Order: sequence, then C-alpha cells, then structure tokens
Amino acid sequence: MKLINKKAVRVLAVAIAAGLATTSTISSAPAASKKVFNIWWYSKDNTPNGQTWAAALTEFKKNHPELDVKFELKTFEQLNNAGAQILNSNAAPDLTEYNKGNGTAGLASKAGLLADLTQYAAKYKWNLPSSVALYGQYDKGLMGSGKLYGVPTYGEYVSIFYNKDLFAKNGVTIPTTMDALEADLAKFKAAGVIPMEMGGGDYQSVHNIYALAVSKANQTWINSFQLFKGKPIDATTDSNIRWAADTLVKWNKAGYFEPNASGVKADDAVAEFQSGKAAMMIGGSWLDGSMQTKISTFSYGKFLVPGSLTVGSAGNLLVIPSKSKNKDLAAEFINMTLSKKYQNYMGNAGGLPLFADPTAIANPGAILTATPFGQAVKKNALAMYPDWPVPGYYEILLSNGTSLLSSGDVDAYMNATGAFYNAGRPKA
Amino acid sequence: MRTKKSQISQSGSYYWYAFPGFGAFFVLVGGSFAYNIYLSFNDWQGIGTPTWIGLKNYQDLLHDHTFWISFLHAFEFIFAMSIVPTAIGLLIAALIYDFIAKHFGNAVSTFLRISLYVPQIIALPVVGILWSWLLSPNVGAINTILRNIGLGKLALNWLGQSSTAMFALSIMMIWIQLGYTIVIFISGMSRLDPYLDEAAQLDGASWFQRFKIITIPQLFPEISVVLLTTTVAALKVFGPVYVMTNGGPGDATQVPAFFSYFNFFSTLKVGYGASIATVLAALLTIIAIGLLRFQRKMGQLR
Repeated sequence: MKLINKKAVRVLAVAIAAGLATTSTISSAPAASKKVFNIWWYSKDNTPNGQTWAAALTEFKKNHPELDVKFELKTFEQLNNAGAQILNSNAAPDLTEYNKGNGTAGLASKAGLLADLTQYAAKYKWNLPSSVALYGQYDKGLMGSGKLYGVPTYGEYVSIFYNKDLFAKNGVTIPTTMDALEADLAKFKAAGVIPMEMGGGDYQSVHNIYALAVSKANQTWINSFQLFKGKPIDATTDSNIRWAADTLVKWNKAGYFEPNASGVKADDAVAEFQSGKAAMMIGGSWLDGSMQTKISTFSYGKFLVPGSLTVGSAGNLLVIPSKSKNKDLAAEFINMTLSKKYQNYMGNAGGLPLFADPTAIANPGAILTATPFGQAVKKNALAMYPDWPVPGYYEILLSNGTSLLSSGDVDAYMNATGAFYNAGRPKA
Repeated sequence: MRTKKSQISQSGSYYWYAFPGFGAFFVLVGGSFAYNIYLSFNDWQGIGTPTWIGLKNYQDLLHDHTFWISFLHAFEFIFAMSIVPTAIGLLIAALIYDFIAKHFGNAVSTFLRISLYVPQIIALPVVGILWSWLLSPNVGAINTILRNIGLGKLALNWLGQSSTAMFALSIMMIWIQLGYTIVIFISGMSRLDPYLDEAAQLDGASWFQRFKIITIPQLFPEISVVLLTTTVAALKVFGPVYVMTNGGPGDATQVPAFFSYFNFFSTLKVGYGASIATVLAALLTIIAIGLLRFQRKMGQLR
C-alpha cells in the first residue's frame, strides 16, 4: 500500500509537514449525551476496501443509534510517520486502519499500544487461515506469529498487465516461464513496440526487482528475508536479489524498457501503458480501478510473473488501540467487514476480498483481477513486499534502483541496499 | 520623541514589548531545540523509553558516508540558491531598473518583475510536479525542445542519473530564487541617490563602470541580507529534494535536512536523525553569526 499514488500522498505530506492541514474530518454533529466512537482509516473512497468499510459503517451506525460515530479519513503518511505517537496519545481512536509490518504494527504492538484480538477471533469464529493471520500476528514486534493484534480484510498483489491487442497482433501468448517471457520481450522489441513499461524514477524499479527475485525464491527464503526466521540472508550477496538486479540491467540494456527508464515517473509510465504504447507493465492491484476507467482503445489482461512466488499480501490491518474505550464495539465492526456480505460487496466493487464467495461476484473487471490473485493464494505463494523487512528500506531500494537503471552497476546496488538491510535486521 | 523613548527604556517597561516574541521563541524554538539535543544522545524509536547512549550517534556520523556527502551537496546548493541567483539577480535587476523601465515604461518593468517573482509564490509541491514534467526524459518539454532544435545530444536523463540530477535540481533552484533576489535589489536601487549616477554619466563613465563602482557598493546592505538568508536556506534545503528526488538516484541529491528526516521518520532512528539536525543547526548558527559579523564590519568601513 505504501506505493500507491506516491505523488498525491507526497503533496499531502508536505502540506502536513508545513502544519497546514492535519485531517479531513467527516463527522456528525457532536451530541453531548451520546457515547463517542472514533474510527479512522486511510483507504480513499475510490478504493474498493474504502467503499466497503464505508458501507459497513453505515450499517453499524444504524445498528447503534446510541453512538456518536466520528469517522476521520487520514492519509497513509500520517499513520505511517506519526502513527505510533498518535496511538500513544489520548487522541487515539477506537479503531483504525494501520500498516502491517515490523516497522509499524510490530513496533506499536511491542510498545503495548495495540489490543490483543485473540479473544474476539474466538468469540466471532473468524478462523483466519495462517497465511492471512500472520500479517496481524506479532511476537516481540516481529510479524509472522504470536498474538493477534490486527486483522486484514482484503488482499493486494503485483502482476503483469498486458495489452491483449498487441499480444494478438504480434502472435505472442501469455508466458508461463521466465525464458518465454524474455522471448516475448525480444519479439516486441523487434516489432518496434515498447515491450515493458518502467517508471524507474519511482516505485516500479523496486517492484520489478523484487518480483524477479521472488520468482526464483521459495518460502524458506521469504521466512528468512521477511520474517527473520531460519538462516539469516546476507543481502549484499544473496543470489536471488543478485539475479534480479542482473536481469533488470540486462533487460534495460537490451532495450526492453523505454529509453531513459530511470528518469520516468510511475504515473507517466502507467499513462503510457494506458495509451496503448507498451505491451506489458508490472503493476499492483491498486492500479485496477485506473485501468478499468482509463483504458478504452484496447483490451487488457493480467497474468502472474512466471516463477515460484508472487509479490503480494493480505492488505492493511484493522487494529484496536490499547487506549480504545470501546473495544467490544470495534471488534463488532471488524466482524462486519469480515462477513460474507461485505466481503462479496468488496469483490463486486473490484477489490480483492479474502473470504468472498467467487460465485457471488459478477463484475467482469473484478473477475479479471481476482483470478490471478486466487491462483497466487491457492499456491500459497504471496511473497509480501520488498520494503517490509527493515524501516526505511523503501527509500534505499528506490534511490538505488533508479541508480542501478542509469549506471548498470549491480555491485554498487548490492552493496548499498544489502548493507542497509544487514544493518537494519534485528540482532539475533 | 527622543526624550520620550529614553524615558521608557530607563523605566524598563520597554522590555515587555519583546515578551511575546521571546516567549514564542523559547517555547517553540528553544524548547524543541533543547529536546532535539537531548534526543541526539539517545537511542530511540519514537515510542517507548529513550536509551541514553552518550556520543555514540555522533561517532557513527563520523563514519557515515551519506552524512558527509549530504553536507557536500548542501554546500553545492549554496551556489545554486545563493551565489548564482545573487549574481544574476543583480544584473537582471539593473537591467530592469536602468534600461527596461526607462525605455519601455513602468508597466513593462512591473510585469517583468512580477513574472520573475511568481516562482516564489507557487507552492513547492506544485513547482516539483511542474519541473518533474519539464525534466521528464522522453516526453518532457525541455528534452522535446532540445531534440526539435537539433540538440538531441543534450537531451539527457536529467533526474534519472547521478551525474545530472544535482545539476537539474540546481537549475530549478536558481529559477525559484531569482525572483527573491531581483525584487530586493530593485527596491534597493530605487533607494539610491540618482545624482551620483548622473554625475558619473556626465563624466563619461560607461554603464558597466557605473554599475560596478556606484550601484553595487551602495547596494551592499541588500546584497549581504540576500546572501545571508539564501545561504541559510541552501544549507537547510529540504522541500525540493523531498518533492523531486527523495535524495536519489543513489545518494546523488542527498542533503542534511532530508537525511535527518529520513532517519527520524523512515528508519525510526530518532536519536540519529536528531544528531544530524543538531550538527546542521550548529553549523547554520556559526555561518549566520559569521555573515552578520562580516556585514557589520563592512557597514563600519563605509
């Protein structure tokens, strides 16, 4: 989620840093006699999960006329940067969306700022599968096991968007192996089509490298790299990351990305793909909505990057701060968002529900994005996101990924990003 | 008037007028600064209890390559944000004041002054997005123009490679800063005594001689104020880097304020971020005092 619409988030964040704006508040008029229930999230109202939670909140308000429900739409950066300080204060809400990962929910749980939800999971029989629950479980601040501090209600993943018309015109079929993918890239290059969009000045280089790395990786590698279980990974020499960086440089030199890829912003790359100039683009499911509305001149599809694992995970968490005065009510709301009714609602809104009934989803765009996700979940192949293991890793991956594309210096990339990872990983 | 003023200051009540200013300073700046110094001696993740580690953060800074390179970039920004805009600003201000206003009238010179000042008014995030578009390597306006006039070889990947990112940012900063220097210099020129200039003209001095010998020395107060404020602004530059490059590619545009922010908020090494901010604040204080002393000395010489 960190990587969504970075530019807009940046603009907001600068405004916040300047102290110009802190929140956009949508709340009903305070009634002195009513008990106040504060609920926050930062998924915007044009995202399927934002819409679903809003629908659930409407029903929740109807069920609880005795409450004065105050909803505030926060920004990702607000909770990512100052979330812990907010949860630690008396201004903490009764329920909020929060970022999964060691640097955010992990840190907050370790400091005792989040309520343990284990009893609610039992009471409401959530029966979360382990591959979903692990994002909400933290043990001494490390994600993957331990008490349940948060619950994800949706998923997200990174796959390849492709231009069906260009595939048909050039006689290219969906690749199922990495060799086939490279052959397709070469075919498009020879035909004078941009084979793969690459906004290398933004998050796309980060995603591409990690998508390639995990296509070679197994669960043991993920457990070590992301969850620090088992034999530690030396990120300066790791063979999967090295191969991914090598491949990125090789593709760049072969002209499989547009020229000057390192200076292209992600928004521009997405716009170029949507205008039909490129055959493929690696992108996250958060682009689904934009693809559905902006692509009109050709038809598009999605397939997973060939190989073992897929970049993706369950979505952000709903958490109950320890300072919440209405924990039972907050758990009741979480239970609503996990119900079949609202999971199906999310599926039809084009989102990626974790527990929806596939037959209840009718929207074709929703089927398009839910099908590859279903394959990845079925394989139990979600490899999480590149920037999770250590705080601040994202900025390092981004600036060095840009540098890698322009200089082609794989050693420098491995040293810079690897040293940061090695220094940041928890000491055993 | 004179006697009244001295009566007030003798009775001491004059100092009460400074109270709101000093109060705000101690609460907002002094308090935060003291807390920042305290944090710089601690290992802290933003929540929980800070652990006192003495000078360890500062010792780590000594060996941190990124820290040193960020200061090098800050000094490079003095060129882009202070020295170059002051030099070009002086020339343009003289051009507008001496030539354009006289030959084309006040309306044209006012229009030029306002257009050059506009970059100062536009919010920085908007400037950042605007320049990201201009500098975009394949579809950006700058490279498109360069290709169309046959200078395709100069159409570089401006922000996408380490070798040109700093240069591209510098060009943007010069564009932003020019308006500030020009407006101050023009207002300074309107303060100057025109008879000196006319007398020199009658004696046969060329425009450039008059500019060098009469205008610039008389503008010394304005020049020193502009140099002081823009140098301080260059050393603590944050916004343009945050909006445009995030310090990249690699650490090609890393600056101290952004590096401090990065450690403070992204890696949650709050104490380390605080130690960078403390070093930066100390350096800024020294440079500001030095420039003020220099300015006073030059003032006494005149």
